[in-house]
Amino acid sequence: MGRRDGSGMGHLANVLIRLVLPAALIGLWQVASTSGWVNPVFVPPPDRVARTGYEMLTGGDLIPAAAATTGRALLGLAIAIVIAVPAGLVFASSRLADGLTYPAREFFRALPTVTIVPALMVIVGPGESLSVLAVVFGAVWPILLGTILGVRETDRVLLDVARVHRLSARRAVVKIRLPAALPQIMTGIRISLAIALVIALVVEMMSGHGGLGSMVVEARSRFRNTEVFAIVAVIGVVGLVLNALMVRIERRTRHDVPA
Amino acid sequence: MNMAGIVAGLRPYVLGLAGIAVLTAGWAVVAAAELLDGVPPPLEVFSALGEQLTGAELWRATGHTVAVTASATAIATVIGVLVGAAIGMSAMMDRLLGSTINTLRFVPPVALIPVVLLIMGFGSGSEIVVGTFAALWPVLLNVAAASREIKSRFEDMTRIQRLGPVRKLFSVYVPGTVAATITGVRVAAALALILVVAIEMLAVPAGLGHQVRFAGNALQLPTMYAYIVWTGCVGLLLNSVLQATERYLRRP
Amino acid sequence: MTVRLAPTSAGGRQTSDVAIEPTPEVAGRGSIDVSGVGYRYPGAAAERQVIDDLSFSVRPGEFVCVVGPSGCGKTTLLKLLSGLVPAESGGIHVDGVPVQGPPSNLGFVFQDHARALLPWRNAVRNVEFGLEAAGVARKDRRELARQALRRVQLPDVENLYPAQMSGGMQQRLQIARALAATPSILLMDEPFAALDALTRFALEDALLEVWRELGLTVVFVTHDLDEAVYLADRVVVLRRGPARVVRELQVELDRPRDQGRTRAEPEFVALRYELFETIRAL
Repeated sequence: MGRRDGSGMGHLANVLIRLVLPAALIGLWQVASTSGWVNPVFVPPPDRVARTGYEMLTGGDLIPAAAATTGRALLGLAIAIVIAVPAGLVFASSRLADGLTYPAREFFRALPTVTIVPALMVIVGPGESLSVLAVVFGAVWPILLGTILGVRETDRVLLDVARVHRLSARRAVVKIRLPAALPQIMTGIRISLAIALVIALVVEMMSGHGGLGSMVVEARSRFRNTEVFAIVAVIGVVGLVLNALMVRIERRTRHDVPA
Repeated sequence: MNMAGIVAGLRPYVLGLAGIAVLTAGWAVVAAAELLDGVPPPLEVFSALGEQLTGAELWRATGHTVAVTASATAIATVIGVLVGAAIGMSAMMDRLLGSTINTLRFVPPVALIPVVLLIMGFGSGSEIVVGTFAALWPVLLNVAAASREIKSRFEDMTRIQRLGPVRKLFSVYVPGTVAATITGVRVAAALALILVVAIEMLAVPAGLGHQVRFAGNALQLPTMYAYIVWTGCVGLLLNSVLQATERYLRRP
Repeated sequence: MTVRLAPTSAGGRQTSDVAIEPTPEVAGRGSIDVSGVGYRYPGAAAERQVIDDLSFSVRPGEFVCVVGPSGCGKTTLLKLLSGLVPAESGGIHVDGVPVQGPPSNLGFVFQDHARALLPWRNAVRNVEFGLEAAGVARKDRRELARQALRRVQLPDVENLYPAQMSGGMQQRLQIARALAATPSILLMDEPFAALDALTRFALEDALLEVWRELGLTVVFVTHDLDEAVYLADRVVVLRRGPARVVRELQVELDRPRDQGRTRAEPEFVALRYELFETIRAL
């Protein structure tokens, strides 16, 4: 949604316009909470949330918790990539493997991943491996789908290019099909990243095993509502930062669109 | 159709069933050999599912989850279409709303659950709000992108043809964005279902998510697995219906 | 600073300090022989004879253009020559050897340059692709790729990606990729059809120069009759449904040809007229 603006003044005005709505929303929240339109016990005003958030950030627990959640999500995502990309290659190139697994894949893709968390909890018990396994289970499907579609939809002309250069089928996979599928694989990874974060948080909320998820549940059960808002804001920031990083990585892997 | 054609047509079904059979057999082996803790054999799970299917509880829970998911998707579609069309058709609106949208859409929707529970309590209202928040972005972004493209492609034409704003809306923008909208709705419904089930598992004592969690806490493992399988079937059905609708609307 | 050593023995890939120069053997090779070839599109309903009993041959070092009405199977013909699709009947021989898959001494330039280049590789790496596939040692690839780029007059674009290049540059790059592996035959499928006229003229001349220097055999499919006459030693005219050779026109215009002068020569105009009437009569 970026647009170029001619002058410096224009640029400044542009930035200001973009800040109008967030500023208005936060202002409205502040007024609503301090003037008592909404109960400030349940909806504390933003200045208090900000102060509490700052204290928690400097006080110690919040950053390790954010790191724990992020670490689980990213570890699970990495394992999902390692599983899904080769598997996707196999399903895209073998009609037998594809046919055998298609209905099962569709089922697991449509199954809301959170439902398997209680089952995993019984199997592996609460702990680090529960989080990571659940994240892997949720994150695998979009990457798998992206890989299958990307490899399968490789441009016919590129496949002819491989053939006139007498590439073996295996080398054509490495040199043509996989790189041609990369944009779609990256899209899958971007979707999976969002899912990974959601699953990591839900597991933490359910199992109480550290991280931002259990922190927010604990704060709520102790009626520390300002802390709840502060932690939620931090979760939002984590989501934003991870996604921004992902977009950067994605852009660096793409050369098919003019810079 | 000749014999070979019939065999070829049946092939995907045969293969798919074979795949599911292999998967179920693997599950049976894992359960029988007790390779993993607390995995009941498939037979027990399917008989538990049969039991639930003949009872009222499963259907009540299913009705609840589907109704809440549908409401959230519907609200998200209305908001998404309106806001998406606004920012797609007007550069001013894009500048005004764009950065806020681009910030909010990356907030993991589960993060909202504690806050919404605080404000709205443990009822369906909370489920709908969280589901709507998750479902909003695919619709909104798809509609915005589609109407932006329609605008850049047909703006000159509509001006030369002197179309009034209403004609322009209904004969250019609406037909031009309908396919992208339904794609957004399909993705939105899947996300809404995930969030609705999640909040049911975490807090709201109703629906399929609650049933899974409840059976799990009571260590009624066959029932828990039965509900997991059933939730997957509901998701699959929802997705298939929307996919068929999408295909119908996108037909050439 | 061109280092041009005498190339090493036949078949062996040169190891270092090499240039893309024709070996005597390579220059002597590059003959194509098509006899009685038939082909129909696979698939139940659409099955129809595209090519039927098609015969012609190309001498080593000859520049042959193939023209014909659109949809007459020109592209299919190139795919048959390159072994991308197998002929249904008849025989295709390259240097006396029956074609059963893409021959190693053959380069192919596709019509759609935007789709035929690897978008994830920059220019020099795209050229190297042809060398990797041919099994050229890693240490020699970069230098050979650079030589190929220079040969098509694309010296300063090594690090650009295809998406950053104009159509003309993309097509030069594709030619460089095809040349890098020192083929003796170059098949080209309407390579300049999507380019504007001035770019097309420049590429035609660049191609003729490369052809003359390397002594290649070229089979060039086009629907542009001017282009066919300007480039070719011989123009082969195909008719449609099913494709067959209806006419072969010898072009004996002087070389090197010149875009302005050659096209103004009475002989050029006469050939072009004859070609046009032949196709109109089909």
